[in-house]
Amino acid sequence: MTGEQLRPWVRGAVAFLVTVTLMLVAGWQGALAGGLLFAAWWLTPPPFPFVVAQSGIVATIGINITPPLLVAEAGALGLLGVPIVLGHPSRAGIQAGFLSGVLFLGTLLWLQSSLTVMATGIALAGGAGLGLYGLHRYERVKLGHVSATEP
Amino acid sequence: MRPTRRFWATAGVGAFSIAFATLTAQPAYLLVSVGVAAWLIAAQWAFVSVLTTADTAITVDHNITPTRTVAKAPVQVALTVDTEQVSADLADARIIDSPPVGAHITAGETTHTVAIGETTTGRYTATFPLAGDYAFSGQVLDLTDQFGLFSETLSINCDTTITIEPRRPQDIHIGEGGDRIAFAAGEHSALHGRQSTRPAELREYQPGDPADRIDWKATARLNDAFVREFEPRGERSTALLIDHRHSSGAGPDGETPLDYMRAVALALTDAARDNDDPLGLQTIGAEGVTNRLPMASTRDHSDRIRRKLSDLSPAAPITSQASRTGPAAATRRAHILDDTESAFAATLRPYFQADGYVIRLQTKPLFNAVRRFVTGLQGQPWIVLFTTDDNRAEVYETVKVARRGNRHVTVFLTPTMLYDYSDPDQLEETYEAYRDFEAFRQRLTRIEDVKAFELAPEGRISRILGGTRSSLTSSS
Repeated sequence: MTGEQLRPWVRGAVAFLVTVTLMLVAGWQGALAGGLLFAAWWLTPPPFPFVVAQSGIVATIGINITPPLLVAEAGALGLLGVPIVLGHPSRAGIQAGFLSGVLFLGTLLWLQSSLTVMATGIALAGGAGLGLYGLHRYERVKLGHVSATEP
Repeated sequence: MRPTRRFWATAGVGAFSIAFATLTAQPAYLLVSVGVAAWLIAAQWAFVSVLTTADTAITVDHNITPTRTVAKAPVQVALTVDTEQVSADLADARIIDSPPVGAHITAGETTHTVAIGETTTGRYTATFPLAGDYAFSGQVLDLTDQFGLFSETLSINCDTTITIEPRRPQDIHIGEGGDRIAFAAGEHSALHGRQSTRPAELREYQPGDPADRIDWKATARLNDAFVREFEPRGERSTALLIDHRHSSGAGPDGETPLDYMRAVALALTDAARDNDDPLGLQTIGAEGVTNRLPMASTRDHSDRIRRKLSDLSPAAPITSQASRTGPAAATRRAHILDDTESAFAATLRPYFQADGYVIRLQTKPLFNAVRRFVTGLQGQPWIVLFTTDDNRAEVYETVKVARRGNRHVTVFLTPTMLYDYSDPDQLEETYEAYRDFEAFRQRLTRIEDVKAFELAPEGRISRILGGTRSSLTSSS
C-alpha cells in the first residue's frame, strides 16, 4: 500500500485517538468535540480538523501538561503532519514535516515566556508571514524569475 | 507563486484564533494559529520543492503536423506532458498552449489537464487564414499544490514554428491562344527562348535553324552556311517583377490572378534555387514598389523571396482611373478631335496629345517601377513580368522599356475576363473578351525578345474556348 493510499486511514486513526482521549477526560463535552472533529475530518481539507481538534483540547482538557494532553496534542499534530509526510515520500516531505514540528514546538515554548497574548499573537503572525514570504522569494530566485540581489 | 482562495481562508482561520485568544485572554488558543501557520509553511515548502525540480522532472513535447502547409488547411497540434518523474501529488496541473495570433481553433481546446505521474497528450486543431511564419512560443504549465493552497505558472517555451503558404491553384494553364505549353520548374528555355552567349563549335546550317544563328563570318570564309553552336549556359540571372495591384485580387479566394502568378513565381524561385541561379524580386503595388530584393543566389535569399511571395496580397485600389489608351490610339483620337470644332473636343484635346500621354504614363506605378529597375540593372538578366491585362497600354509600354538593351522578357498575363465568375453563363461575351486579350498578347509577342503567355485557370479557359482552341491560334 502506498503512502497516498495509507493517508486517509492514518488520519482517521489519529482523529479517533483524539476523540477517545477527549471523551475519557471530559465526558459528553469531549464526545461533542470528538463528533465535530470527525465531521471536520470527513468534510474539510487537512488544516481544519486540526483547528477543531486543538480548540476542543483547549476547551475540554486545558493546557496543564498531563498524559491525556500529550496524547491529544500528539493526535492533533498527527492530523497536520500526516497529509504532508505521506503525500511527499521524498526528502522534501520529511523536511516539510520537520519544519512544521520545529515551528510548532518553538512557539509552544515561547508561550511560556512573559509576553502578553496580543504581543505573542502579533509575533506569531509576523513570523508566519516572514516564513511564507521567505519561501516565496526562495522559489522565485531558484526558478530564475528574479536574481538573488534584485529587490 | 500565487496564494489561492483556500490559502486565504486557512490563513483567516489562523488570524481569527489569534484575535480570539487576545479577546478572551487565553493564550492556549494561540496553539490553533501556531498549527495553521506551521501547516501553511510546510505545505508551501513541499510545493517549492516540487517546483524547483520541475524543469528536470517534467518534460513537454510540442508537436505540429504538418510544419508547412497552405492557408486554411487544418493543422494538428499535440502537447505531450511527461510527469512520471514527479513524486509529489498535485491538486491540479494544466498545460496551456498559446497559439499565435491569427490562428483559429477549429476543434479541441488549448488547455489540457495533466495527470501527475503519467504521460498526458492534449490535442487541438487550428487553421491559419493568412500566409506567413508562425511561432508557438507561449506554452505554460499551471500547477497547484496538493492542498490547493498555492499555484504557480511555469513557462515552457517550446518555440515550434509553422510555415503557412498561400493556397495554390491546382489547375494552372500557361499557354498561348488557349494552347497549353509544357512548363516544368527548372525548364526555362520554353519560356524565354534564349540560349547561352558563350560560343562553342560551328556546324553546317540545317533547314529550320534560325537565321540569327548563322555565323556570317564563317559562312563567308567557308563558302557554305554555318551556324554557331553555344555552350550550355552556366548561370542565369532572373528578375521577377510582380504587379499585385488591386486587379490581381479578382475572383474567389485562392483562385485570384495573384494566386496564379504566385504559383508560377514560386516554381521559378525553386528552379533558380536548385540551379544556384541568381534571382531578384520586385513587387509593384498601387503606389509603386512594395518589395525589392536584389539579385543573389544563396538559399537564405531564395527563402526570403519565397516568404515575400507568400505574404503578397492584392494592393488596395486607387481612386483615379488609369488610361488604357496607347500612343497610337491617342494620336488617332487626337486627329479626330482636331477635326471637331466643339467645346467638348477643345477640352479633351490636350489629354490626347503625345506629351500628355507620356506624362500620364509616367504616373503609372508598373511602368515607373520597371523603368527604374532596368535603368540600374547590371548584366542582362531574364526579366519575368507577372501582371494582369487590366492596364494594357501601361503593360505594353512597360514591356518595351523592360526589353531595352536586348534583354529577354517573358510576360505572364492573367486575362481579367477568365477570373470574373460573376456570371458564368455569359460564355459568348467572355469569349469575345478573350479574343481581344489574345490579340493584345500577340501584340506583345511581336516585340523582339519578348514572349507573352496567358496565365489562367485551366478549367475556366477550357470552358470558354471549348473546341475553338486550334482555330483561335491558327486565325491569329
